[in-house]
Amino acid sequence: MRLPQVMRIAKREYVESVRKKSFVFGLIATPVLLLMMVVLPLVSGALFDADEARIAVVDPTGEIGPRLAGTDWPSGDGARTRSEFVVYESNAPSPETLDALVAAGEYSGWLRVPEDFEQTGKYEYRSESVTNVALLQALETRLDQLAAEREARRLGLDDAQVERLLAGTSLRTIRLGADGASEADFTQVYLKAVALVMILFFALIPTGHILMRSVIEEKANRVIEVLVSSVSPLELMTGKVLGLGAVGLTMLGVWTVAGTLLSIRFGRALPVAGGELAVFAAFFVPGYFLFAALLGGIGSVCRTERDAQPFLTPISMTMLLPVMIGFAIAQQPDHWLARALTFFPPMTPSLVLFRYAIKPPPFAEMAAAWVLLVAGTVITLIAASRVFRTGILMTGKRPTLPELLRWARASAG
Amino acid sequence: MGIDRLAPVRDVREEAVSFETVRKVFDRHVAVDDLSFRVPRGTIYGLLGPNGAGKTTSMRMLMGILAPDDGRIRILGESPGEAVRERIGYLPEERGLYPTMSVIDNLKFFGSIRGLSVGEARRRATDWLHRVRLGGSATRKLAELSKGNQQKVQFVAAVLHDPDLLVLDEPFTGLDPVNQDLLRALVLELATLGKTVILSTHLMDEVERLCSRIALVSGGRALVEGPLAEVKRRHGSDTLAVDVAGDGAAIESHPDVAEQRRLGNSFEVRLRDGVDPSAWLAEIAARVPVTRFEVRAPSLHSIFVSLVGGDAPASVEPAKSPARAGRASQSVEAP
Repeated sequence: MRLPQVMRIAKREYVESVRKKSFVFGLIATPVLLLMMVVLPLVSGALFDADEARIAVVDPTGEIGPRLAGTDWPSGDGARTRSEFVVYESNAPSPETLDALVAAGEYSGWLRVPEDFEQTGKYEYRSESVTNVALLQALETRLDQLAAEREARRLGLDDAQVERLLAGTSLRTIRLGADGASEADFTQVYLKAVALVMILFFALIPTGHILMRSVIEEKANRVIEVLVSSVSPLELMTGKVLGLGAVGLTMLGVWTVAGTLLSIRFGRALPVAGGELAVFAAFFVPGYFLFAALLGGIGSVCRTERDAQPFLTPISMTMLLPVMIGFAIAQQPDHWLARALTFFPPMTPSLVLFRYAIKPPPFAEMAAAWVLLVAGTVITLIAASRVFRTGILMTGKRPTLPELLRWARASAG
Repeated sequence: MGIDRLAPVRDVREEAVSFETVRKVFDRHVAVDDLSFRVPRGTIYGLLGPNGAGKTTSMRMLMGILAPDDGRIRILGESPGEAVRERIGYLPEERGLYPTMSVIDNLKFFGSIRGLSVGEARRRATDWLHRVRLGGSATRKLAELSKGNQQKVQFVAAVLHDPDLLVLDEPFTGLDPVNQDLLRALVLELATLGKTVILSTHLMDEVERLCSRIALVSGGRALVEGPLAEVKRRHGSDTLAVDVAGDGAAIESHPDVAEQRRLGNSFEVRLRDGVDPSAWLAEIAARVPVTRFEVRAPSLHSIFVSLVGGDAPASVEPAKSPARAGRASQSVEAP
């Protein structure tokens, strides 16, 4: 392999990609998108919460309704204070009427307090929407409290005792990370893990797509024939992979600098620890080569981007798997399935990073996954360059899987 | 590098290119089958054949893009591949440059991956662009140029690194007559400097004008190979061009006519072996006024058609079996 040729190809790929408007767009749009993905769920929760609920309470016993409508709710939860309760003790409308009122939008829902609620502890809430978890939980908690309070008074406790009994507990969570103990809650840690995987994704996959697209374009306009008459397919692929890898690194570099500048400007430390950066870097590089080899190989056997489309979704999904099953991983970061999948090279970079952000896996496990990733990457690079060598000159039909495997096994010739 | 532009070729003793019983099979399709030909240094060599004849596959093997399954290929005294890559210039049939890059950037890039320094590539590119009358278009995007001008840039890309062997696949496609003349002159100039040119084309006129040797390839084999004059002598017979003023039935129905083609009042006629053209003319002239009469040497076109079979080179189907090559109505000596 001749290095000057490789570097010239790399340089051309780099310069042409960085010059494109789409590069600048990706540079700006990606963090914006990322921010939206992380921030929107938080903001939207608050936004939608602000939507006032108006709830009818049918309570012939007169025990519950007034307490719900009252202002003596424990403070702290928006859903409780912002809801309005309309209490019917007697002459309540019929259930059918109430259902109709809910349908008409007069009420968000209506709560039925049965005569025997004290024995059964069962209530009924009817609404068009039963997914507003925050409201329903607040309601349930409040009903629990009222039940407990009634029971306490029945046992003859005085006001102070009742208050102590009902006083809420709170759990302060401290995360023991590699960088020391720090206060952190689920949302913070989980969102950071998601964000890290997304950054990895946005640095890897679009660059891989550019690589694939450039191969397909060169096949379509026959530049490839002139290229491989001047350089070997291996030189060509290596040059492309290196050049576009540099594009990915440039994106990461710009984001890092921008992030640092912003953090200085607003006087807040970047919410990323040194360990996370190290893991990111260690797994980004082989991860990039793995996906670049895969996508370059795919590009070489496709005539159009549409041909390549069916392959892209599974590849993207593979990387995004930790985000998709992230909630489960967050519950049990060391679950055998999460650990097993970590050793599947295409999932290794994103899973290790995600797990590291949630709860750092043992060093030996990360090291083993890294070695396996590098080995898988080397094998993929070799196979892809062989497929590439044959694929770039194919113009007719897309090769079948057995054909691809045969090319991948064929040695240089 | 240290090579002056258009430096003379180093070693003239050996052939520029030789194919010896070369074979290439894709799956079950035999693309090139037992192909042999030799290209002496300094010649302009015509590689002819219908679509699917195996020309492109042969050229790809020549460029080291594909490896032959069998047989031997030598280029400039070497095997195809890295050792000779920088000494070959290649102009593919379809455009092969980056459409969104500027003309000069394209040339710099392709010159540099073939061993030129970027500065040297720029100098030569500027020089060559002036020679092909594109001096003012250096900074324009390739895609903004007309098809013909893109083709000229493609040609410059092929010769920029001063190759000893130039492989041109349909170089005249898309060029107007003025630019065809320009390109033809450049190719001839390169040949006088001792460069070897392999020209693959469907344009038989160009081959007749430029090439001193040809190979006619069909079904992956060379049906004919050798100096153009000899090929013509061996495989053709004279054709008569006759224009008449009036009814052409006298020609169409004449028993000595072996083959004829009519275009309005113009006829192309081939007589049976041993028939004297002037005696035949006297017979025809007695029946219909003859306004033109010419005895033509066989054209490469007619040799091509008769050997390969079919209507016109550009639309000939691949000749799969020898039976097609020697069709009954065209009595041609089998190769």
